[in-house]
Amino acid sequence: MTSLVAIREPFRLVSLLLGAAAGALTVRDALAMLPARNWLALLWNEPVTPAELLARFAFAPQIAMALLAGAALAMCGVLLQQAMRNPLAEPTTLGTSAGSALALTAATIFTPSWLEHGRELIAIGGGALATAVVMLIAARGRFSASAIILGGIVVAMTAGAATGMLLALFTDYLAEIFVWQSGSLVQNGDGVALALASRLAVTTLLILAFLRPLGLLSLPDSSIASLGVRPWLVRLLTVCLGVALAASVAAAVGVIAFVGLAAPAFARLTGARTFGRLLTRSALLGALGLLAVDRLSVALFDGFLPIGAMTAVIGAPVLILLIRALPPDMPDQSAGWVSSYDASRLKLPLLALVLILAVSASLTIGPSEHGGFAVTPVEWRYLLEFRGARVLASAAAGALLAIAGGLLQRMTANPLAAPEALGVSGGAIMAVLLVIVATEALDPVLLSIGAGAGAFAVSAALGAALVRGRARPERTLLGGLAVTMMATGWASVFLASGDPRTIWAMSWLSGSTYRVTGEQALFSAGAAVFSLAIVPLLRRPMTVLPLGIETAAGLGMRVQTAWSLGFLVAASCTAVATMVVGPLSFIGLSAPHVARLLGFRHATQQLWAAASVGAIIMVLADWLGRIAIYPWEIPAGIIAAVVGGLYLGLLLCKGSRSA
Amino acid sequence: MLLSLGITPRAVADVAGYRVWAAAPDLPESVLDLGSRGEPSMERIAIIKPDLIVTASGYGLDATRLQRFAPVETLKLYEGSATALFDTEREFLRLAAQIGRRPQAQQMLAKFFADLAAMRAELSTRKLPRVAVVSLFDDRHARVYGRNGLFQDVLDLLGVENAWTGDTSAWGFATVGFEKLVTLGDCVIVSLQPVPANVEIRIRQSRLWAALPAVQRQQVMNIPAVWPFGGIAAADRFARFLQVSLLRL
Repeated sequence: MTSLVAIREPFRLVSLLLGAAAGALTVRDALAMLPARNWLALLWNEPVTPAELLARFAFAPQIAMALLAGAALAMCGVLLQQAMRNPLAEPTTLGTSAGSALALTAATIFTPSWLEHGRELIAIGGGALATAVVMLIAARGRFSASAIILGGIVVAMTAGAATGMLLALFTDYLAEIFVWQSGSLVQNGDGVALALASRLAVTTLLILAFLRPLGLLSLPDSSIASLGVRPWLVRLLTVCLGVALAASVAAAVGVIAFVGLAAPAFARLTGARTFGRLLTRSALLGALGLLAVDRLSVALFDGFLPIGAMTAVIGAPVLILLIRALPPDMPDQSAGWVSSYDASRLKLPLLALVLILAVSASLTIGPSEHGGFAVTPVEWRYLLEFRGARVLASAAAGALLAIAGGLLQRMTANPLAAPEALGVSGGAIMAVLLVIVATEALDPVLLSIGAGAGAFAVSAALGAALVRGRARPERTLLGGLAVTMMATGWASVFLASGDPRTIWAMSWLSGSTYRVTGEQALFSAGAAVFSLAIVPLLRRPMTVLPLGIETAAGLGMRVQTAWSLGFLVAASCTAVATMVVGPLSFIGLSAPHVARLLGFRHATQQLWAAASVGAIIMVLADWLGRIAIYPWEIPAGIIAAVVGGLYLGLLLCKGSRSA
Repeated sequence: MLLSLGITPRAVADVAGYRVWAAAPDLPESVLDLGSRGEPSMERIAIIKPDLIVTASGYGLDATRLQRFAPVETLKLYEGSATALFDTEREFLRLAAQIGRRPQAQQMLAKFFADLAAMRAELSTRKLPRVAVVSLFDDRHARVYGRNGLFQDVLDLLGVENAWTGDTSAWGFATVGFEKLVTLGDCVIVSLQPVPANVEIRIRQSRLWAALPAVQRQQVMNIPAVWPFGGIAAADRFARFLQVSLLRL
């Protein structure tokens, strides 16, 4: 407790400095545009000169938008974190942003006339629909915190992948969506800001009206129930309010990640403990923070960087520093997640058989030049070259990612753990972007080395944190998530820049197997076989660690060593898979779940089953991607994410019902 | 470039995209689609057994993998060694030499530079405004073309001043908010088509766009699609559209 008091004051100081910096930069920019006298005149006069027009219709609305969006996102974060009792929760965790993006993308392509009436409605509709699906999944689990967040991740990943699929098919037409996805506070009038202000006002009034029941959510469910309030009802209300805020912001300025995560975290560090305090302080910090980032972006990069990317790029390192100081108030989500019920061994050969069938179909059946399908349209010698390498690499990457995800989920007892959450994929993304920007040309060898180096750098950082003994699994995941967000931010910047090489970057980011070479395929296959072989060696930590740290230590497990080893294996698996087929880590999330829901609960069996499931999904995804719209291709990673996501959603509904 | 040299390719990548964004020279119906520009279908390439494969740098294509089907000619455009037009000219001649049509290529280049000189002479009789060349993809941002780009080189050859003197990427453009266009002051805006219908509607609703001097004086000129990263044909096409627009002022 003493350490908390000690850091409280510096954080208050930091907040004050933040406000001062944001204010000073704003005033500086405002006065550079117009003298103070003219600003006053603008209050009652219509603008005439170009400078006045800019001040009235671009500058002022942008400042207002930064404050409004920052406050709204921060409040949204507080609400969602309160509802899910998880400081990892943020507007995007619920699938709201992904739903909005999907709706906007689809509308832009198929019904552009709908966009005339304002994209706000479409974005809100998509966001609400996505969240409703999340609720449908969560309803099976009576809206428990983990049910909501798991449903949210599944929906976000499926909707995100579907958006990616549309973008991959209609690349040139969607520069608008790119800009929207990376967030932009740039305004060309005051209508949007005014609309957001009115929505924020209504939501704030509703929050004030329900302040007491919302505050109750900090208590355990049983205590809330004993006060005569239905916990799930309050939680549903909280989530609805949060979603309304998130969708409004997303519709107005695009996806701005991180604010909803960072502002509440900062607010807690300044000592805000009660719900009301947390809400007001977060809103204030969010508003000032976003304004500061916006002004900084203008000062440093002339406003070129999209604001959503800026927040991720600036905020993530701050968050990583902050994680150490977070109070350890994260409740255990694992209750009932890992069961000792064991599956029959008969199913493993069955899975292997399915994999063999998938591989043979994928190798031999392709589209024929005369329409329809043929066993093989090309000479046999090309068959292995075109398809063999891709099929082998797909299977290996699917298996590797599944092993990594399964390991992480078991070691951290967290159903949301995945290579992506570990930050390893994020490290690879950043390293590859760096290589692209630094070298102009796209050298495959250099890019592969870059991806591997980035992935291993993050793994090494994780390992160092573990050895220091500071990183509990939840914090490692939070840090990993921050790295991934930062990487996604940089990727958005690159995609929004309109560089013609975005075609390449997009195909890699979405997990295309197009560029896989024979050597790469053999290497990843070897890595996959090796990983499968060492899985039994990790059986004990994987069985004991999910029971909780204290229990594991009580059973004589050297927890730090076990973690370090597990993370190292998982990171290596991810790095190899990423180098070959891009950071398509959703397999790492879905395959272990599918294996578990199929009945594989025993550690070794679950991982082997997960590897088979991952391989099957990837092989089928690669096959579908090659033949569905021949000669065009849909990246395998996108298909895997859509298929895996839909399947996982269905299984979650069914599985929770029977539980 | 092949089309300019009078050769109809057996297949090209992204046929639909070419027709929308490059538009000319006309692509005959007989040309097969190879799929996306970043990932042309290897299977189709193997089936049609081409005599020559022409690619451009920047799409991440591995030439060594294509070489087993046919000789591969990779055009080195936008490599930062020279101006975009100079790169294009050099690669155009190299490609022409490769397929034995160097005289035609030299003839075409001579005609291109002569035409541009003629256009410059005709334009020089007038007082020309500064010109900002933009592509509009959404209602708050524009892609504006400048240094390092093909359009800049054409503007220079025509003696037209580019209103955008700010930073641009290696490919010769910058993505900027409308407020940056306001700071350009008096200039003519040349807007490359096509602009998506929904974007056009919302741009018309934008008060900031409406306040631009060029918009107020109705000096926004829409010109048909020209591929900003194209070759001599694209440069020629852009020059002609620009000249017609400027003479109409």
